[in-house]
Amino acid sequence: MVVYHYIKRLLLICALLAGNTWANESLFYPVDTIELPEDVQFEVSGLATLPDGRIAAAIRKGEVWIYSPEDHHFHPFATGLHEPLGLAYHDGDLYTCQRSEVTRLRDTNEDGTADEYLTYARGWGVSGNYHEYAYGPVFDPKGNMYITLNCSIGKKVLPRATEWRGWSMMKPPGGILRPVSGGMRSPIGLGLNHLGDIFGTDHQGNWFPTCPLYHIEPGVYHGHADALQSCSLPGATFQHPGKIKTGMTVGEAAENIAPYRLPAVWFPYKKTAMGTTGIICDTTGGKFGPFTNQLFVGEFTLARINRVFLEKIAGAYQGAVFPFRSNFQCGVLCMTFDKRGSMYVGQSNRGWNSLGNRSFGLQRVWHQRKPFDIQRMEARPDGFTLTFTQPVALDSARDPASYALTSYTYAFSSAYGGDEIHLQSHTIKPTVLDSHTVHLQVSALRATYVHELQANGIRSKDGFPLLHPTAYYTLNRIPNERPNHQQHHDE
Amino acid sequence: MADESGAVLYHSLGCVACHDPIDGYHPPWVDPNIEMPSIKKFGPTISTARFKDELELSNYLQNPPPSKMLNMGLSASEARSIAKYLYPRFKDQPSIKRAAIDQNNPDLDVRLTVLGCLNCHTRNQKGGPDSGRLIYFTTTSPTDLGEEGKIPPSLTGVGKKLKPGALKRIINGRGSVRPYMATRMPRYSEKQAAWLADALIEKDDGMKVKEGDIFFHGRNMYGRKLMGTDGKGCITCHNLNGERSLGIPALDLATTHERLQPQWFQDYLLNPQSLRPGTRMPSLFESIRKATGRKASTPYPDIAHIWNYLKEIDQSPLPSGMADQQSFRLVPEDRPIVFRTFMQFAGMEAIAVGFPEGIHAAFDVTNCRWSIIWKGPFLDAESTWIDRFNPPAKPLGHAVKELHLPAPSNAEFMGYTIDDFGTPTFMYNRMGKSIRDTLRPIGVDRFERTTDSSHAITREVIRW
Repeated sequence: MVVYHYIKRLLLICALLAGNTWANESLFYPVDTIELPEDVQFEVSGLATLPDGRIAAAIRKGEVWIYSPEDHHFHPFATGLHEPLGLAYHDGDLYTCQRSEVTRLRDTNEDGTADEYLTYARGWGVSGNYHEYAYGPVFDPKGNMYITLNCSIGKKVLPRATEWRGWSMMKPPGGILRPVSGGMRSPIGLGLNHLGDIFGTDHQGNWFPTCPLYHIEPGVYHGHADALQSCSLPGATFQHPGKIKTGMTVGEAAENIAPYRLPAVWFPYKKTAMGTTGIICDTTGGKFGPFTNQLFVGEFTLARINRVFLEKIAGAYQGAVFPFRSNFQCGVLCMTFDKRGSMYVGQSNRGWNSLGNRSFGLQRVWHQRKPFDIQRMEARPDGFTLTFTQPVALDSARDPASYALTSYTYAFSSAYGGDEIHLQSHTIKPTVLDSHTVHLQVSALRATYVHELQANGIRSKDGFPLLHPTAYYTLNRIPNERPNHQQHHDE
Repeated sequence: MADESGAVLYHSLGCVACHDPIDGYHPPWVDPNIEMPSIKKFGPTISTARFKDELELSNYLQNPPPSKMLNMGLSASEARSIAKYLYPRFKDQPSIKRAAIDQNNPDLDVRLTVLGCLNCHTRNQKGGPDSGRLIYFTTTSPTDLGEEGKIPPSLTGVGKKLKPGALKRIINGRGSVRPYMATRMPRYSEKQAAWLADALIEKDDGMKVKEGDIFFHGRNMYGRKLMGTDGKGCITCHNLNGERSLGIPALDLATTHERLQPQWFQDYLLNPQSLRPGTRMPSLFESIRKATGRKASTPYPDIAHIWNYLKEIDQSPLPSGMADQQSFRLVPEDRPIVFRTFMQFAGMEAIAVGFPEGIHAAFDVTNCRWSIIWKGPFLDAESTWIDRFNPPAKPLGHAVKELHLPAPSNAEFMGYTIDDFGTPTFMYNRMGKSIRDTLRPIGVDRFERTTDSSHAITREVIRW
């Protein structure tokens, strides 16, 4: 037995030291590819787990299929939909958002296919432009239904039909659909955290220097100007901010433009993401590994999934992005957790490009063993606290040379994408707090800036390097007072 | 008859790349009036004296010892036919004892010669079949590909052309992309294949450019457009994913991503003649390169689009010209088809309903009314499913009639139900009443429209 463990560990060390990151990731989070029904463009755009454990998948050509993991059988549930980009299971029925309405799909005669396609919500502008995607829905714990609407980019068939393009919308139970926040560009991802707060992801482009994850709240302007034309409509939740002056950083914009709110995190371009997509919170209670209540965010172009740790500082969410799993076969659009705590990942790259060598597909990621990773990165008045998933080698954690930290921000601009600007490096004084936790005292933290940490020198107590030594903390606010330090780690 | 098949196999499969053709044999594929050219000797003279009988020779041909003869991957019946043909003819020929071939010479050029590669292939102006042997590179059926499609490809720069895996498979006799050839590659051992592939790639300085470096921004759908008849027209000559080209059956491009190194693919498209002198492949991108004055090492978006399309070809629709133009057509066969899209006459919230009877209708959700009916073919889904700039779909058939029933009013759309036969009933609230509205074909030229307004049912026949 001892020899067996020794060999197993030796193999793991060899793999970790020799392999590249994604090969290493597969030791901890293997990926299986689901065999798809033949002759169907199975471009998965929405996933929902049914109470009996089956997986429902919306596909872009306009269908909903149901997959039984037990016998690997797919059967068609609904057809003839107009590019559904999302799927939710709520109160016994499936809901999907088509180009022009949210539809409730019901199988009243229980023959396995939908016989009622009931309009649950509609009432936004559809000009016939290609980019006018509608995403969702997501239901929060109160039963409020959320969707997001892509802004129109390019040629329109009906030029004036632009109501609520670039807005998030909400329909309370029994109520009517109403706007929540505006200024979105291509808000593919929509999802809840464990507290039921709702977040969106967006794409780098005009007004977005890189991809954001933002908290969707009433009255918030996320930054894309196309949405402002709907500020004059009844029900708009913020006033048109007027002419936007140029030359501001995003932090300065948040001070000067009343409704504009910084995103909870930025995903530094190419390093982490080039087109963020679906959001899912780890509510598997540990079945998916040591990241309970954190968010996983899909990535289209780089065909990967990132992880986001969020905390509330002065009432607003901010936090850190970590790489999680790369090398999917195609751009990632959406995810769902099954009953066993493994994650189904829906994929399609039509209309854009992605890494990988497939046009579409469905894969499953599952937790095999606990990686040595930065479990969380929390802001402190004088720096950050890192919590590792496994006990850390104290000498490596104590050594300032184990870390490097730079910070940068972005310009608030109509330009397509933006560089990292005002780069600065910081010095770090580490103090070990316990077996899993280290405090980093950082010189001259900069509020509103992204702080990029490289912890290449860190080793676990067992001698392994971090699976992902990089973290990107979006420090919108520096916390004022030091909260009582609590030991958060899972053994 | 069996004797004849042995003669054909011996002269067509590749035996004559090393051994001489047999005197007096005139291949059936050569005009009887043409005199067969004389052949200078490449390999050893055949003797069958040391074999007990045809069977023993046949076994030898099928599984030759590596140091003696190349493994041509003969089937049992091929080996038997050839043995039957050769055995009696060379029974009395004295056997010459030869030293075993050193197949592990560490010099690449020596090894290519020793292994017989250069009997068929050229590399850096050396080797290649002599003019007399060219005639024996035969196809299983007449194939208009010219010499370049039949003669073994040049090995000059092959380590920059093929990916390691593909190179190994080919040398191991498992990678043919010319299914029409009767002549075949010998099967070298996996070990030999691995050594040769690595040595060729190292010598030719291959595998230096990563796919992500030059093809990162390629988009599948643009590649599809470029390959079709409304683009560069690649499929005019090339087969694709098992589909025949519109013209000559040039190499199936589905293997591109698996076989070719990215930089070679780009260089080849930019200037085919530079890498395959005499090829019939046209320079489709040369003019762009010259016009923009860019270097060959810069990324070319069009080439990246084609690469990415080919990479995903098995999941992608075929290009225009090759795609069965009917393939996106929605044809209601047993049940009606309900299809939501952008549509002419029916707006941005159109729900088209196609019936197996061959008469169809579209419901306009925005105005809660039936807006058009038509006869004949139903609808083409391509603009909805594939296009990046999805124009409104058009009714495909004829006798398109604008209906606009009921008359405009403020109405609220509630959705639709589908009955056991697949027919939808649209539901909307209008002037305080909830209405259920159904069209059903009567025969092939009329609809019956049923409206149920708070249980007051009216029926009308629509004929056009």
